[in-house]
Amino acid sequence: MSAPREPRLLASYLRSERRPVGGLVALLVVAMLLPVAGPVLVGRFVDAAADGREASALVGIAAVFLLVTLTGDGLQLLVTWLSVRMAWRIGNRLRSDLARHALRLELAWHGEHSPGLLIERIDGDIDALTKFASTAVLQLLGNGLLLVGVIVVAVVIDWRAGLLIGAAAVAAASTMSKLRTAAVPAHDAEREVNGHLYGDLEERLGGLEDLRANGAGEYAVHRLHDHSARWWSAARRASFLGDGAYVAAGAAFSVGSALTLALGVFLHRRGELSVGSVLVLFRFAQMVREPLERIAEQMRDFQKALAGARRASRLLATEPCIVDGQGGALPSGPLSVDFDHVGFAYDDRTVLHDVDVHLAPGTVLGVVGRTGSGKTTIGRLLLRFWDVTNGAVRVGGLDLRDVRAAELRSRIAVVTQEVELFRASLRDNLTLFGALTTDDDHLSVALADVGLASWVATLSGGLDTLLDGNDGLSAGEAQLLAFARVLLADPGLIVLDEASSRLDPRTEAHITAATKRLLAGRTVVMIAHRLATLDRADKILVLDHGHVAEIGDRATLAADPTSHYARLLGASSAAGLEAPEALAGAGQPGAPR
Amino acid sequence: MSPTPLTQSDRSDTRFSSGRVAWALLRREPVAFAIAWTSWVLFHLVPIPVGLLLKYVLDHINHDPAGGQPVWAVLVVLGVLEVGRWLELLFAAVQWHGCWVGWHTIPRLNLLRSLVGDPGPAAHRLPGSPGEAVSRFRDDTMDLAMVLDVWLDISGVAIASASAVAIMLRIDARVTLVVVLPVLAVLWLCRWLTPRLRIWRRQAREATAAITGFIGDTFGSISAIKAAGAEGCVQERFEALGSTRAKAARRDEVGTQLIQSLSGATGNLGIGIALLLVAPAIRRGDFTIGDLGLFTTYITVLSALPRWAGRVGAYHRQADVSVERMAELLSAPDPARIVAPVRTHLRGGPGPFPPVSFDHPDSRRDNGRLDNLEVRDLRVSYPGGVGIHGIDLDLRRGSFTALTGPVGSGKSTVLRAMLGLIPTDGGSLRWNGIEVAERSTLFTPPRVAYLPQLPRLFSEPLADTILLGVDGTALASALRLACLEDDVSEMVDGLSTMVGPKGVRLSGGQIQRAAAARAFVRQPELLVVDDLSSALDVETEARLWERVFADTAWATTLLVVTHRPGVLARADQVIELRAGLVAPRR
Repeated sequence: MSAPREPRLLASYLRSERRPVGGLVALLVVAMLLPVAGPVLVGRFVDAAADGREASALVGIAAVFLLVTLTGDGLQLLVTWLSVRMAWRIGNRLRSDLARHALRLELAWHGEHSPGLLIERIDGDIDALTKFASTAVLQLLGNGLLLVGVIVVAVVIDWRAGLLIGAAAVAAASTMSKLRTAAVPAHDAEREVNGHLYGDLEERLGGLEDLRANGAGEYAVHRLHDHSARWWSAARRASFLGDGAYVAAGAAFSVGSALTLALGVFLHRRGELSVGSVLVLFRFAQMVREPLERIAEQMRDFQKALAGARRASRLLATEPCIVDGQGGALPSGPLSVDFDHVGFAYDDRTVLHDVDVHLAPGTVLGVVGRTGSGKTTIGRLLLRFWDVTNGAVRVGGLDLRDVRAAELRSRIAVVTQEVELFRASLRDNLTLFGALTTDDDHLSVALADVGLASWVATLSGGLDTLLDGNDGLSAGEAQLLAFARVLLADPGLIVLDEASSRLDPRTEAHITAATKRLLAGRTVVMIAHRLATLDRADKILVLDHGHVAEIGDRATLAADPTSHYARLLGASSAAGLEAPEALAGAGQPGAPR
Repeated sequence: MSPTPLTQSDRSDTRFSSGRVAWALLRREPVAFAIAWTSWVLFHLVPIPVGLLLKYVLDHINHDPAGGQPVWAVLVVLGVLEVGRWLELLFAAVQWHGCWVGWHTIPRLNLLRSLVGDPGPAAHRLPGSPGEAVSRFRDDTMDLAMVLDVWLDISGVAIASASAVAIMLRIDARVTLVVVLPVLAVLWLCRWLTPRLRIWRRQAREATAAITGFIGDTFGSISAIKAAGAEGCVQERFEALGSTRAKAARRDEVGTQLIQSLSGATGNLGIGIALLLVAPAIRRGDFTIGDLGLFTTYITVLSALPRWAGRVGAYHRQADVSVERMAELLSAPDPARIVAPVRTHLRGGPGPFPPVSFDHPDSRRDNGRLDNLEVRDLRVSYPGGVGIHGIDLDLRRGSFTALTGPVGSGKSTVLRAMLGLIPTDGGSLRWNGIEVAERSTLFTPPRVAYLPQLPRLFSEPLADTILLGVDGTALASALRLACLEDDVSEMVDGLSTMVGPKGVRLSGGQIQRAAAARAFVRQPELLVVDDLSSALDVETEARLWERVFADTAWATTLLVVTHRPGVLARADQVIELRAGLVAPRR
């Protein structure tokens, strides 16, 4: 990506907020300069008192002081309110664009970018970015203004005192930035010690039984003690260096304000400065500390924000490889499927070679083959998660590359091995957040059709019950929910990536019954991992290393002892005696819970 | 944990507040706390003399513009005070960091010690995952430490405020009382606002968690979303969650700023009111310009009070919850246990772990050698599980008992119930004829060692994860018994090889054999071994048992789950389980 993208990205989002930004800056200038007026007014008050002016004049100054400073406080609150609102407006727009873009990107891209990473990209990075763009920029600007305002007014009161305050500020700022850099390794070391402490603790807590059974409890306690002692040293060292920087800057300010007071007294003695002005300059010398500290804080966030902006613009610049089709509508009813000499390569690895398969509408095709033979790829190509390398995939007579993705996915449904449920209401899980527009009656009918009516009856909230992702449901129930989704979508083609998980016999029976209902009157591509479920298939496709080893009617192939399919059937029934043993072995981990 | 202790912990919430727990924690290191307290109070107190000196300087130059030396001397003192304040802060900060670590360490050591050492079954001691328990060790201990920390600050701010008010009262009681009024008002406002702020903060966090959870969920199931063409609906939902979060976050951020602004406004209001009131007095000369300088300084001190006072209540409430969460890690939810006395050596560290020696004749004599072990009517039931229903076993010294049976017949359950790792419904164990009341703490090395089916290695050098604090004299022979010596000699770093988390850098067989060495090195009277066959091939397992049987020096008693014929053939007695019962002899 080209280097100067990041500032442009932010600028483009800020441009739409031109007017609010302008107003905010104007407001900020006022809000930050009013506090400068406070000490000046106190000085005026003191001078007026020293000059023996009327009490009414003094009261007048005091009233102005109250008005000005309280207005300043109020304005500051207003600026915060406005800038926070703007930050969230811009941030959410950016987040929303990033999410939309990420949703558009194809599965291959998602395969390389974990959901955890996307949480950072879409949310975490933007947090740092918008905080910086709104609050931090305003803070920087505001505190910079305050700093300049104080020094300028000080120079106006007395140029020597003004320069002194300025010099103290510069000295403090440079010590702080230098010493803070020196403290970075110490802070890193502390973080690392803590990382070890928690990492080790998590491991030992995970192995509680091993520790107890081996009488190693005290040893684990000792390790925690030892790690804590390391933290003690690291924390004190980091504190000495880190707080040292802060202290050095603070001391520089203190020396500055003491010197300012001394200079004020000296000038007062020579009759060049009023008592009030001495007080004002002393206050100013103390006032410059806070904005400088704030600025130093914001500078640290700057790097974070810049990195976030860089990552966000890189994500937005990633173009999906799959270009949406422009073409017409798919026919209604069951859909024909044609693989015209399809070849597919992924990452330079050829997965499918010249697959030529044609299905009339309403056909049930069973796809079998070993792991890695390309079974799953067949299903993914049908949904156009990937584009073919050679040949064409046609559904309902149309090349998938010409069909709009939305049209395609409304007519094709898929049930995968791992049914993914969301932490959302049952209704949202069924309609995928409203992608299927339907009413509650239809939902209830679909749930009843797949045999989940009694389960739904146990839910206190009915369709509004919040599901806790996949945690609350058994694998069988999740599978049945996915079937209900398909029934609701009423597609013309179903890709059924058969569940490999083991289910108890009752659920298995439920699923078999539901599957029968599901398949009626639709074209089905059934990717089978177990041969037993292929009884319902009309045709069988045997894949071997991406080649079509065999295709034909199931009955014909089963009757022909020389066919691949018949041989596979033979092998599986021979293995049948062993199978329960193998399954049992796999399901034996450790302890019953 | 059964539900009963949890209800007890609910009740204890009202009985045992975080304040009392924090007070007990303070008393563990009273000197360190006293030093921290003094240094923070001093730091907060410095503006008091500074105000007095400023008053002196201002009065002096106003009335006696040509005055000589004293003013310069006062200015030097003022400079020294200010610089000294910062140096004192550095000392206070470094010393405080030591206290801070100590306040975390004492509860942590107590919690871990209870988890690894308290009697009772180890299973289900953690309320959630180990990662969740770590958050209790990390965040909940911090919430408690925050209480002690806020005590330091509120002491300093309160003492400084009291001193300021005392001095101001002597100068002008009427003005002082009026100036204190806005502070009191804001104090009340902050106390009212702080709990709300905490609720807003929590709501903002929850809204954020909802967003991140939604992103994680939907992108985790992106193929389902895409297959259903649900991208648009997901997008809409994301935006809806986003605007909910924005609302919560805005309120939280503005609320935080509100407390800041209120604090600033208190100062300005105080100064403004003082100016209004003193105008006539200044005219009369009753109130000097120096007094005014002093008042403006002290009002700034007072304006910090509401902010800190608000935090005190908030931190206490937060820590109340944390104390309860920590107590859930204890075997009995008594919050006093969290801060029980414990010797810590943070400066310089606790030193090397004193190795436990099982060779020492005393350690054997005290614990008694095993002559026979009787198990009678051992019962375990699981909701929806198989369980065991009355198991009898007799193990004689030096004998080899094999436990066999189909999957799910309860073999592992028998072992774990005997060792006290899981709760039992009944049954008795007699060690040399003496009833064993608390198995979980007594059935440990050197009496009993256990090799589970899925042992856990820890991320440390191989030797350490085998020894786990036992002295290394028997290590070489343990490695040989476990058939691990050849593997070790082939490793570049030998026994110092880092095994990685859960031993990932070793093969499955090596992990199992390292765990076997862990059991052997403890030279137990009774060695309990769960099925080795899932991790070891026939040949290696046979070799391992050959070596164990050939080891005449060590007359251990063996109880082994196995279904390998070669191993069963060597057993003195074979006990076959079926559905949680001992199957009749064939």
